[in-house]
Amino acid sequence: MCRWPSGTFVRPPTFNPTHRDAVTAGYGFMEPIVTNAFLSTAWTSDNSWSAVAIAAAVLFVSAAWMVFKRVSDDGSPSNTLPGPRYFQSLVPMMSAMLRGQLHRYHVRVVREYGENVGLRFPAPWSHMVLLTDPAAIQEVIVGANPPKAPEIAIGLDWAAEGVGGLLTAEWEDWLVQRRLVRPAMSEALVGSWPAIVEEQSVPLMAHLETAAADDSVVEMDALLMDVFLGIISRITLGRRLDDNVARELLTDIGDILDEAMGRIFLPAVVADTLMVATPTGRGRRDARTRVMAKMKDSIGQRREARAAAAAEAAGVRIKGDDGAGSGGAIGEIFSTCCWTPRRRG
Amino acid sequence: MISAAQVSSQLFTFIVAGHDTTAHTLSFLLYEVCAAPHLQDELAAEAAAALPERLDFPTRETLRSVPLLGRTFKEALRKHPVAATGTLRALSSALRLPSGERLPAGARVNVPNFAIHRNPGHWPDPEKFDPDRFTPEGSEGRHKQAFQAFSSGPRGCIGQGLATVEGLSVLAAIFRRFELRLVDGPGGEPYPDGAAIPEPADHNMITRKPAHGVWFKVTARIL
Repeated sequence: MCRWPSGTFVRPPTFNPTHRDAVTAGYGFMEPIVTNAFLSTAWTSDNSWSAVAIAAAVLFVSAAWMVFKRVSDDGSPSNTLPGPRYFQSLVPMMSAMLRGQLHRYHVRVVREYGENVGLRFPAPWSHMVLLTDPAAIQEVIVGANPPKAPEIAIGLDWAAEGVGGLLTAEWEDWLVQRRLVRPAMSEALVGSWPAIVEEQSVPLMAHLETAAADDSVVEMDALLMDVFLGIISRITLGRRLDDNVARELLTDIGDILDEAMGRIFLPAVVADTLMVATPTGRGRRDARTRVMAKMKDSIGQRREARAAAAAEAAGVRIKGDDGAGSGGAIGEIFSTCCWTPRRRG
Repeated sequence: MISAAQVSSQLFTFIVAGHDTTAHTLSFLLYEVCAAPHLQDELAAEAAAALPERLDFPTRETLRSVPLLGRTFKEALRKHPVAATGTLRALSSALRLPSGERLPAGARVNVPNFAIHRNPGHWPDPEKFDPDRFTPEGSEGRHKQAFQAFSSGPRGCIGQGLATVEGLSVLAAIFRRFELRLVDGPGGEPYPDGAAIPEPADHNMITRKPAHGVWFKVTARIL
């Protein structure tokens, strides 16, 4: 039994040679396959779901063909470069990424396909060009192509926006951010760095002296991270973070990054893929903008709260939240700490 | 005028990008140096010449007199770039590659640092740790962009200078004061002389790091 568009239940017709001939005439060489797959079982019974199954199969194949044509004809640069195609690129790449070995996947495809590789993913407009030819790299990152990157890569631009700062993809925003931090990293301050480095290395050296005396084993990566966290917090916050605060801060940063990955990167990949069906680039871009704004608000609020707490715990003087003209409480961190040495200098 | 969001973003990226990157680079470097004991001896001798007293700490001037350490640092960045998956860009205008293909505006481009640094066309025997690649003779004929540890151009790493100063300073002090021997884990013993030491397992999500840390026993240098 099946429900026809009229909404009434009708008994499907029993096997009718004339009817069958009409249906199979359109299949040509596919007739034996289709017959075996659908007709010989269902068509001859009281249940005519076979008609629905065939229609669904035809629709599916048509849709797949249309998507494939759009992929093939969308002018993607990766169509002209050698490289793995569709699922041959997506599956190994995602697998490598999940195992934390994406860099080794890059090595493999470059060795297999050449210095410049086109990675083609199974959706229109989704591609990536791997460039390892230094002359080409020169053109992309130094040469005539200014570093405007409104859409970096599928999903990744969303994650970058979630983190913000110098990782932002938007050129104008990036320019502002770069100008903000340039003084803190300027040559004028280089002279003050060795003293900070020495001061922050004291615990490491003491730990190593003790380990030498005890003949105990040390794990250097963790010890070094403590040193360089101390240095960077001295330079950005003006003072070293207390160990507990630092640990809490790093844990929270890890959480935020996880959140950025979970709430931005993965949904972005899905959204990008689904939005393939959007007829115009404008509509797709607008949809991305709306979703991204929501994500950024959520992540940004957590990030600001965390940074403010860290600064307060580090003993940095923070003015009221009104902060007119100074960027609020967090702005005060930079105006009182990070920028001060340069003004004195 | 700066906004709170801008400043918090900066703080966030400074702290995230500013500490673990240098730490992981030095961890891989210490592994490589300990896997080639003669190199550690040479670095210790160089550090002793630059820092007469054992507890001296490098200054900016001192760092100019440790060229082998500088080359070793660059070689560690070459063989073990922490930003291993590299730089991402979208082309703002069309580009014709030297090989002839044309990339249209908007093309998404990834410059994969790890793959470039392991390309035998630019770095012969790329798996070998060899600081002499960065001598003037060793660098001859190599394209500047074959070294991408800090990227380059307007969006190159803004912390490059700081990372170099802090990395070299800490390394010089370590090599001046201690001798390090690799062990295979928390309860391990040092590898015997001449043993083939496996490279630490790595894991790369945002930065590439030693997956299970790098473990050492240390001995204080007397002189």
